[in-house]
Amino acid sequence: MNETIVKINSSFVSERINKVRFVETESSQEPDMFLSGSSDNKNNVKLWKLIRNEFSDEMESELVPKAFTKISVDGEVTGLEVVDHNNFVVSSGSGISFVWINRDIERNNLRENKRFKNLHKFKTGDSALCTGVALYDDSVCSIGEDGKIAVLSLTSQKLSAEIEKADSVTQTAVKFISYKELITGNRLGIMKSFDLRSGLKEATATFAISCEDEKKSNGVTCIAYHPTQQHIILGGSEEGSITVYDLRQPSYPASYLSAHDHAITELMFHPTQPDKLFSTSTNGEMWKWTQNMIQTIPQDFEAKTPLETVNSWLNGERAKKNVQISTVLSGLRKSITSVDCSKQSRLVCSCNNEAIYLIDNVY
Amino acid sequence: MSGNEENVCVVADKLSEMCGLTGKFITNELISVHGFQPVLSTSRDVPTKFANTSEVNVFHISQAFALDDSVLRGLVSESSSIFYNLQTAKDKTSEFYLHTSRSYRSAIRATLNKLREAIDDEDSNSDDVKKYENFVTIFYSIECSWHLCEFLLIDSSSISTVPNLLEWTKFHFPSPSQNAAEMLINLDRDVDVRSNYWVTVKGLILQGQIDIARALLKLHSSSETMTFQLAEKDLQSMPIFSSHGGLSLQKFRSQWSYWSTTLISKIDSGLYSTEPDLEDIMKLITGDKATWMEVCKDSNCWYEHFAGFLFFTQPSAKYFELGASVNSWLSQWASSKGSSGFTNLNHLERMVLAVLKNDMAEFIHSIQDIADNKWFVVHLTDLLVHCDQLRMSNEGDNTSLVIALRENLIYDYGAMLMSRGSLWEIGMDYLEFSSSEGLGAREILLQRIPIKNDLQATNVIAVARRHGLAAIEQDICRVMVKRSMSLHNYGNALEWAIRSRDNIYVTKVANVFLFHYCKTGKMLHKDLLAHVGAKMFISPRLLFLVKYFDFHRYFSSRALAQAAELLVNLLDSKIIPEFFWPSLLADAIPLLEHNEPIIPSKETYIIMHHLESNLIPFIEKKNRQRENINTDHGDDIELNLIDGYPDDLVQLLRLACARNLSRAMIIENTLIH
Repeated sequence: MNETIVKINSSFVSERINKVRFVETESSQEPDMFLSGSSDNKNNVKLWKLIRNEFSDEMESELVPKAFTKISVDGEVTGLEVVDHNNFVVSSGSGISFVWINRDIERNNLRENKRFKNLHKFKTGDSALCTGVALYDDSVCSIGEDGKIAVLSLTSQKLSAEIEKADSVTQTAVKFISYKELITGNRLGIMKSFDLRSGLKEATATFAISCEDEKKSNGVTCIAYHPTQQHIILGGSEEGSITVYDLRQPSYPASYLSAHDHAITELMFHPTQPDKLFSTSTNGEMWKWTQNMIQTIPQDFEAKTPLETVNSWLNGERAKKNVQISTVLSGLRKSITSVDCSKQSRLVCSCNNEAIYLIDNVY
Repeated sequence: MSGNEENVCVVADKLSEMCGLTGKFITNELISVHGFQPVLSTSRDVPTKFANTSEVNVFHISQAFALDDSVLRGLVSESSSIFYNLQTAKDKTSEFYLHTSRSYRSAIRATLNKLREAIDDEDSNSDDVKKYENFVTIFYSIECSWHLCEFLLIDSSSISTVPNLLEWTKFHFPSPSQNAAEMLINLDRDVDVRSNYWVTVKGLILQGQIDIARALLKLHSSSETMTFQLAEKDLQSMPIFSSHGGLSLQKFRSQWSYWSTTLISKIDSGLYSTEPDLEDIMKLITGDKATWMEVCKDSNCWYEHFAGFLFFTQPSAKYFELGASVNSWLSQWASSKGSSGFTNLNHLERMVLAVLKNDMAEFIHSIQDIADNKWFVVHLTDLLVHCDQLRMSNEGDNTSLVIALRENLIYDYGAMLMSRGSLWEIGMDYLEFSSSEGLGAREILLQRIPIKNDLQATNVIAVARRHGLAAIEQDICRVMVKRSMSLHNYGNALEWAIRSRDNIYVTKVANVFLFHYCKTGKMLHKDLLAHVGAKMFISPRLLFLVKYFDFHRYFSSRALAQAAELLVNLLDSKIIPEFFWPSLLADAIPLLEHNEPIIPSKETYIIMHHLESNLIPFIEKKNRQRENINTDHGDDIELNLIDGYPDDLVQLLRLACARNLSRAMIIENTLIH
C-alpha cells in the first residue's frame, strides 16, 4: 500500500451541498457511507455509498459516491450530525429532525423519527431559520436566527431546555464541550458559553474573537474544540482568521492566527489524531494544519512535572510557527461549504460548484 | 428540436378567445401575452365591444428550462469549471484546446450515461422517461457534431481528414465492429451461415476496416476457394494512403489507379462472379457508382457511408476540399433514397452537413435551435473563438463579428443562469467573461437574487466579496436591515445596519433602541450594545446610543463619578437627538441629588445651560406643535415617559441644579488648612 499518494475524486452531484458527514462503520474500516444536506430550492438529505468505479481503467479502481436514498426536508440544511451508525440529526428550515437509517438491504431508506417544527420564531410569529445543531450523548442543541437555544433529548424525543434570549443577533455556530456546557458564536463575533444544568438563562462567559480591523464586522462562522483538550476552543471567522481561547483563562484570546483570505466555513479536528485540523473557506480552499508538539524542557530538574507539553494552539504569537500548514484543495473558486474526516484517513468535502470531493490518504 | 417545427402554446383566456392576442418579448426567454384587438389608424378611438366583458389577464410564456433537471445540472456545473479554466489558462496551446474539447465531450458522455441510468430507473411509462429520452436524443446529436468539430476544426495537429472521419463514423455506427468482434472472439467456423455475416463484412469495408474484414473473410467456410484467395490477395495489396507515410501523393495516386484498374479488369472478366457478395465488395472498393447507390438505399442517414466513399475515392481529401464532395455525394444519396434530398434531412444531419461544408454560419445558426437552452452553442462557439477557428463568412475580416457573437451568447447564457434559482453562482462565472455589459449585468442581477434568510444573505455576500463587489454587499445589508425591522428583530437589524455602514440605516435602527428606552425605561439587547466596540463610530447616533448604554452600566454598577463625567460629556457632545433631551437631563437628577456631591459647579453650569438652551426650546416647540396639529404628528414625541409632565421635569431639574450648585460651591471654595 502506498500511503503517500493523495487521491482526490470529484463528483458532480447536481445540487448545492451545505453539509457533509461520514456515517462511521462499526468496524475499524474506512467509512463507506456519508450524508449530504443541500441548500437549494428544494432540499433533501441524501445517503451516499462509495462504490467502485465501473468506468475506471485503473487496476485499483477508485471509489465514487452514489446516492442511494434521500429524505426531503423543509428549507436549507444548516447542520448535520451523526449520532451513531444508524441515526443522525439534521437542522433545516426552522427546526430539527431525528432521522433513522434503515439498513434493511431491501429497503435501505431514511425514516424521519421525529420532527420539531418551528423551534425558532421571531417575535412577529414568522419562522426563523435554524442555523445549526450540536450533539452530545443524548442532548441535541439547536440555534437560530432568533437567538434562541433549544435543547432536545434524543431518547425522550422532547424539548428538555430552552434559553429564550440567548443572543440578540443570529447565532451562527454551536458546539457542546461537555454534557452541560455549550459554546455558541454569533454574527457579531462573540462566543458565549452556557451552562445547561444550572438553569441560568444567561451566558456564563463571553469571548470576542479578534479581528484585523476593529471597525470591520467579523462574525463567528464556526467553532471547534480540541478533541482531547476540550478547554481549547477555536473560533473561525468571516475574515478568515482563527481565534483560540483557553477556557481556563477566558479573559483574553490565547492565540490569533490569520489564515484564509475569506471566511472560514468549517474547522474540523481529526477525531483520533488531535494534532491535525482541517479548515475550509469560502474562496474554495482547504488547508491541513499539523501541529508540532513543543516540549518545554524544564530548567529545574526537580520540578514536579518533569516534562510538560504545551499545546501549540495556545502559544499566542508563536502559535503559527508551531503549526505546519499545507494546502489540500485550492482554486475551486467557490465556497467549500463543509468537510468531515473519518477516524482513519478519508476526507469528504462539499463545494458550491456542486461537487463532492473524496480525498484519501491525506495524512 | 427540429428547427422548422412550430411550437404551439395555447393560452387559455376568455378575452383573448374573443378578440385576439398580442405579445411582446420581455427578455429573449420570456414573452408577455395579453388579449388585444387590432387597432388601425382608421379605427375609431372608442372602447371595443369587449371592454368590461371579462377580466383582463396578462400571461408570461417562457421557454422550458431544462438545465435545472437533476441530471443536466451536473453537466452545467461541470462544464462551467471547464469553461472557467479555458478563460483563465495561461498556456494556451493547441493541445490545451484539444484537451478542453475532450473534457467537454467527456462531460456530455457522462451525462448521456446518467440519462440512460435515469431512464432505466424510472417507470417506463412516466413522463420523466419521455423527457430523458428526448434529452438523450439532444445530447447525442450534440456529442456527435462536437466530435466532428473537434478533429476538423479544433485539433490543428490533425492533417489526415479522411481517417478521422472514418473513426468518427465507426464510433457513431458501431454495429459492424461489434458484430465482427463477436464473431472473431467465438471463432465460428461457419459464420457465413449467419444472416448478418455479409452485412457485417460489407459494413466493415464501408468503414474502411479492411484488415478486420479480411480476418472475417478467412472464417468463411469457403475461404480456401480460389475466389476467396484472390480477394485476400487483392485486399492485402491494396495501397493505403497515409499522410504520415512514405508515399507522396502523386506516387500514391499512380499506385492506386494501377491497383484499381487491375481490380476492375478482374471484376469485368468475371473472376469474382462466383461469389456475388465478394464481387459487391470489390465493386465498392473501386468506387462503382451503382453498387454504392445500392448500399445507400439501406443507410440510415446521409453521412453513414460518406467517409467510406471518400476513403476509396479521395483518401487524401482535406477539410476545405470536402464541400464539393459532400454536394455530389448528397445528390447521389438522395437519388438512391428516391427523395428530394435536402428537405428530409433531420436536424442532426443538417448540422453535420453544415460542418462538413465548412458553413459555420449555417452551423451556428442550426445549433441555436437545439432545445438545450443554448448550452451547446455557447460552449462550442467560445472554444472555437479561442482557438481562432470560427469563420462566419469568407469575405473580409470577421473577427469583430465573431467576438461579438461569442460575447452575446455568453452574456445571454450567464444572465439566464443567474435568473434561474440556485444556478446563479455559475451564471456569475459566465458573465465575468462576456463583455463589459456582462460585468454590469452581474452586479444588477446579483442584487436580484432572492434572499429569504441569513444564510442566503451570507452566501451572496461571500460571492460579492470574492468578486470585489462591495456595493452589492452594502445593498444586501440594507435589505437585511429592512427584513429584520419588519420581523421586530432589532438586534439583527442593528448588526446588519452596522455592516451596511450606511449612516441613515444605522441612525434609524439606533433610534428604535432610544425610543424603546424612552417609552419603557429599558435598554434593548444589552449584550449586543456591549460589543459594538470600535464600530460605533460609523454613525453619531450609534455612538450616542453606545455611550449612553455605557453611562447606564456605570450608573447601575454605582460607578457614579464615571457616570457623571460621561453624562456631562454627552451633554456637550452635540450628538444628542432632540427627542432624547428630556430623558438625558432627567438622568442627571439622581446624580445631582445624590447624598455625596458628585458633580462639580462647572459641570452643573453645563447642565443648566443645556436645560435652558435645549430642553426648554424643545418643550416649547412641542407645545406649539400640539396646538397646531392635534393628532397626526405626535408619534415619536408621545413616546416619552417624562413627556406627560414637562413642567415638573424642568422644575425638578432647576431645583436639583440649584441645590447641587450650592453644595459644590461651598466645597470648592472651602480652603482646608
